[in-house]
Amino acid sequence: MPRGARALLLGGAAVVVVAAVIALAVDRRRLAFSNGVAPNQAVATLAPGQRACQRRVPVIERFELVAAATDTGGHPGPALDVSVLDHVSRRVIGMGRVPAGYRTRIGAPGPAATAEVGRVRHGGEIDVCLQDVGPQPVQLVGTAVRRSSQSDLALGGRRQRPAGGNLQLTFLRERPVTLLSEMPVTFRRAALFLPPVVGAWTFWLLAALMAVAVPLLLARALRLAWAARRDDDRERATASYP
Amino acid sequence: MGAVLVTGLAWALLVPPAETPDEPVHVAYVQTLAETGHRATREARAGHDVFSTEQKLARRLSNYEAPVYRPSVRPEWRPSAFAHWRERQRHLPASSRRDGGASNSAGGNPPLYYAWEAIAYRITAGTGLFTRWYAMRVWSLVLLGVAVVATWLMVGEVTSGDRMAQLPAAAFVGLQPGASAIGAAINPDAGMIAAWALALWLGVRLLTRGPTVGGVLALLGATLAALLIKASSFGLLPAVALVLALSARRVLRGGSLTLRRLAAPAALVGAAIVAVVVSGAGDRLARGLSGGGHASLRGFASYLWQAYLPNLPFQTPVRNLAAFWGYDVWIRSAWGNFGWAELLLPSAAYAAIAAACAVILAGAVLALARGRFRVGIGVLAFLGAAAGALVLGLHWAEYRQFLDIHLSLLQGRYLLPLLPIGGLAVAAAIANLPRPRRAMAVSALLVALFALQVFSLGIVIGRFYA
Repeated sequence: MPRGARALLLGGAAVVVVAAVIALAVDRRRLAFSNGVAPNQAVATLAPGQRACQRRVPVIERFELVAAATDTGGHPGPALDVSVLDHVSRRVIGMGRVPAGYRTRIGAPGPAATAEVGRVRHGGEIDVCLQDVGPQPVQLVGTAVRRSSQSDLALGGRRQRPAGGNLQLTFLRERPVTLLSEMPVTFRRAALFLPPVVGAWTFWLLAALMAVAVPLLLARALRLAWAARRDDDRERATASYP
Repeated sequence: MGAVLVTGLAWALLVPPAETPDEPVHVAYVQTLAETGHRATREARAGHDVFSTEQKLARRLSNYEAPVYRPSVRPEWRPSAFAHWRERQRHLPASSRRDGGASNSAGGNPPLYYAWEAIAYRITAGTGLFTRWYAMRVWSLVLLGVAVVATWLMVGEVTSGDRMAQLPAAAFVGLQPGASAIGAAINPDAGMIAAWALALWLGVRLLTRGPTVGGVLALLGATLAALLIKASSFGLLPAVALVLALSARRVLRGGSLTLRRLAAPAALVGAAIVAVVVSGAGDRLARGLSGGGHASLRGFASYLWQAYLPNLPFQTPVRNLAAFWGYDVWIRSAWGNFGWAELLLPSAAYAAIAAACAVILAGAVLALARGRFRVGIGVLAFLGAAAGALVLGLHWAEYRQFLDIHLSLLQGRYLLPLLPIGGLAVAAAIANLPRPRRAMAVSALLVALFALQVFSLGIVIGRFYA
């Protein structure tokens, strides 16, 4: 095989791998986790002064900001007080405010109603409560449930009643982290529902195979193809096929 | 093959369950077939739902469907959720696997691909649903390997075994990211890619080596398999008929046609007709080809024009048909949209892919015209008939969807069975180059495919796990 072809293949693959690592290193993300609720429809209307709590949210990573899915119909939304409570002790462990003026619509991209609540450590379950402290109502967005008793979203003050669905919440970090630094945790997440014999190690192995073995296998295939061709050429010196 | 296997495994294991097109309904179909021996059906059945109780439990506790089309939602990340699901799954009765299979949108599909997947399902029947799910994905990946081997053999037939032509063609099939993503999913399109590759190889083989009873039987068998995988495989029939006609002509000229030699192929054709009728694929074809209320050839021609080119002033615009939609299907959708078609590469990547495809196509035509890559007229007609019938058939179906529901359901993955022809075009384009440079061109192709694989997998990781 011509040296240039081998160098192009292995060198090109090395460049691809380095470029992929750089891409992972510059891809910075703030998402800590979400509560897994899809923003399908309005599940409750939060009237001025009213409070709603999404209960029993497991904290699987630390976070500093909470974003709630809302629909203001594209108009400026009211300010929302956000409090984070330990589900068991009912102690407030984070608090913040969504400033008025955010504009949101169901399904439309754009910034969500986000509040800085201070650092909340991972572990345990929390309740996230929103209170409308503005002059107009706002729709809370999430996924409807068939029976309101299945909802973990409760409306009202002391005498709370369940809403018709769950509110989508997204928990964010104050400072974004690179996707590269998140690789160990992403591989653990990817392995979650895989068969027990497969774990995060499988993905590290696959990553190594992709980065090293695949280019080497391709180079070997090219070398063998080239060698076979030369053999054929010798055998068919007068062959018409170019 | 090793490289194809590694990349395919990465796709099979990295993509969360249900995050490939229509995978939940295909899993439900396989489960119904494997557990009860019956096909899933589109119709409602008393006591049966789309999904079994077992699948519904997995669906709820893993949150696997919530992220579909919802970029802000992730699948379940908590180990406690997995433990909870495993505990609940353990206590499910055997009947919880048998109450699905009704009102299934895939219920009209013929059963062969699902029967193939049922083998992996049965082998892993003693495990939880997710283990069976991933086992079926890996098993489906074998079919991509079949397509790669068949493409290698097909190009070998055309080039008398030129390895430097076979390698890029086979790599084009095995490392194209769209094919990897579908090949590593539970989806009959994976079976289509393999069955079409086999049929194309066997057709080319008959044309280059001359007809034999075994060759005809093998081609008919591959065609029958394709028909029993998906109804759109009817697109193969004109091409296969052409091969049979050309073969018959050669035999008649040679004077060696006897009733005895005709018996086996005729029996297989008869069996194919019976199988197609029984599988319901024929009904689907008839429905697909029937004109509907407003369909017309003139309207179809206008739609085709508008799918690829700007509207002409006198044309009635097809509602919701985006400009250059046809290119979107061929390039963006066929090459790289993942998940439920919502995960995309950067726009510049599609522009580069489109430019590369144009260069390959022009290069292939040039190589054929210059005689640098010799392909018999019969082979060209066969491959052209297969490609033309599939593309026109899909467009006809889409045209009717635009008339009926003003929406297109055409996906680039439906075109993936034509990848072996694309591989042949790659080999032809490379034949234009002087010999020493061909190795460089193959290297460049392999690096480009490798890069697409790496960055596509990176997009999947970023979407679902970070």
